[in-house]
Amino acid sequence: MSVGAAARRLACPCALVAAPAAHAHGFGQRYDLPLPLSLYVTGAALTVAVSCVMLAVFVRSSPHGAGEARFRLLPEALARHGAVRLLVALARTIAVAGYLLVVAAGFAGNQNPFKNVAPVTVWALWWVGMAYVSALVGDVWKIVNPLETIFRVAERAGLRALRRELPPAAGVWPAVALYLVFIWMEIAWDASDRPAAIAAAIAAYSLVTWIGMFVFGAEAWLAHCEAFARLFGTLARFSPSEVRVAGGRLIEWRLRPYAVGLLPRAPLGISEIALVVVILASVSLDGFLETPAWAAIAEGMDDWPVSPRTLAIALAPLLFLGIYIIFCRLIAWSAGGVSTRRVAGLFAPTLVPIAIAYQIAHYLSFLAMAGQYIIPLASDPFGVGWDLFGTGTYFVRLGLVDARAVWYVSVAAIVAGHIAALFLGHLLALREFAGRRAAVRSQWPMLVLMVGYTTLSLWIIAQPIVTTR
Amino acid sequence: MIPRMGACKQVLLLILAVLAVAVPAAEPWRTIDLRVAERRLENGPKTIRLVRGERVTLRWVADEKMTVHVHGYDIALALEPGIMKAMPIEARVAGRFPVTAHLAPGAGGRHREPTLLYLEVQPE
Repeated sequence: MSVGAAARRLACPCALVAAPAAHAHGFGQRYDLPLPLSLYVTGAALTVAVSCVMLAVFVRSSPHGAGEARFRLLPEALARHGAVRLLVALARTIAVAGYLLVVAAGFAGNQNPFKNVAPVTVWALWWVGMAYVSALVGDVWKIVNPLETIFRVAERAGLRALRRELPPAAGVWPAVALYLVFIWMEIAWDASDRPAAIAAAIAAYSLVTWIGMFVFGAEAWLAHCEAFARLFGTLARFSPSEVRVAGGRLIEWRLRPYAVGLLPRAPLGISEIALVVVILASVSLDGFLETPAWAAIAEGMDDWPVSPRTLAIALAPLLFLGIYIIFCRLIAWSAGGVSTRRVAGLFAPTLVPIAIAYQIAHYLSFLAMAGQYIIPLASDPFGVGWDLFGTGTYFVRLGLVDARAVWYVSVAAIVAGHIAALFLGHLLALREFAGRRAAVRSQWPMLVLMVGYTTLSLWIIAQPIVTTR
Repeated sequence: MIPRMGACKQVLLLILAVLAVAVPAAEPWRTIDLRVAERRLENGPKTIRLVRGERVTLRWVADEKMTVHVHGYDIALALEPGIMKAMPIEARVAGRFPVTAHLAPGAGGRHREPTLLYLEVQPE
């Protein structure tokens, strides 16, 4: 969840530079100013103050069911209506067309990352944009996933999936593994902004997905193995809407309050806990790798045989998991009568709002800047000199979003994410632990963990960005 | 009537005078000398901090052939060894922009695209 290096390496818009071919700095390059000390301190103070106030309120509150409120934006009967189905089909057609265009342009188009539609579409619009949409609007990926659409079309044309049983031990481990590979490509892969490399990676992933869907059936593959279905699905649990899709058909679309979708009905399995922790770790790692602290570490590893970034991607999830389990032990111990395993399975999703808030703060100005590349590239997706819509000469504007506004939105988002996380943690504690006293006691370690994670986010955006590649 | 018009004029003059003090003419160009040796900045600050609207001239001297590139602003300057060249920058957009050296295609060695310094433009 970091457009980190991938985008970072979308070469500089080097048109004006003497020797463009030689340069490769990221498409993902961000020019954000570090958060000023005053705002950093304000954000941290707010975080702590809010935590204390919420705990005090929580001590006096009584258990009640939250997340029951639902509003049927698109009830079943309406979802079956022809017009709705036409709209869904239209959205899917656009997604498939975009997918095919990116792959074609990647393989056949201009290989300058700024003159090909593939890098901007994949790293800015899809990767960052879809994460925003998933978290703030709803699980749109579930509806438009082009890989699923194409597979369903093939099924309708007569393809019969084998529908072998996925071994139960698989859990969502395949999705975790594929997501880690993707994160590596984004953060550590040198070719991540090369159009042909992007297209090849998409082709390979598509092939894996279709073979998996053919062998195990589309539903099982999407639920356990498709990394982006699981990732965007996890982010969308925060969103104010719930999309129900069955057999490739949109069944229902309901509105709900933000964040309540993250309240788990049952404890997550081990692989699902791992997935959440890997998401949390990858979000923070992406930002951490741009700090002077990391630059110092990477310099010290200059002569190591393994790339520092690859090592970081391998170790960060383990570090996060270790810390999380320690805190789960503390929670279980202070609440009493509950196992660490159960606590770990219940509370992992409550940390997701903090990651989402950080993601929003981190990519706000990047999306506003890098996303603009789609304007000229829509007119000339292959970078061969077309001007289909007359926007081919559009010049990307920096500073479209005011630097000061970015600071304020970032701090506000991070504090809001923290409040959402606390709220979920408290609700869950009341629901799960016997008696209010045990519930309140259990929230002290949780509070420390959440304040720590939120402060890490604030600290990262208060660091000056340093390029280390 | 006439004295009142005079008062008007005086007020107008006063306003103009205040404006002249409050809104000074565009700031003069500041000059910073920078020397690059062995692909590192030898002198000068690692981060140049400006406030939006400020104008600065970076005067570069390097010990090898390279192109100095201010990212974001996308200003590039080709340098020849030992010859000083000036790079005027008007800080119109806030942000933190790396300034890297792009070495000549034939140049060997490690650190082929060293970041020399950062240009940090703060909002007013």
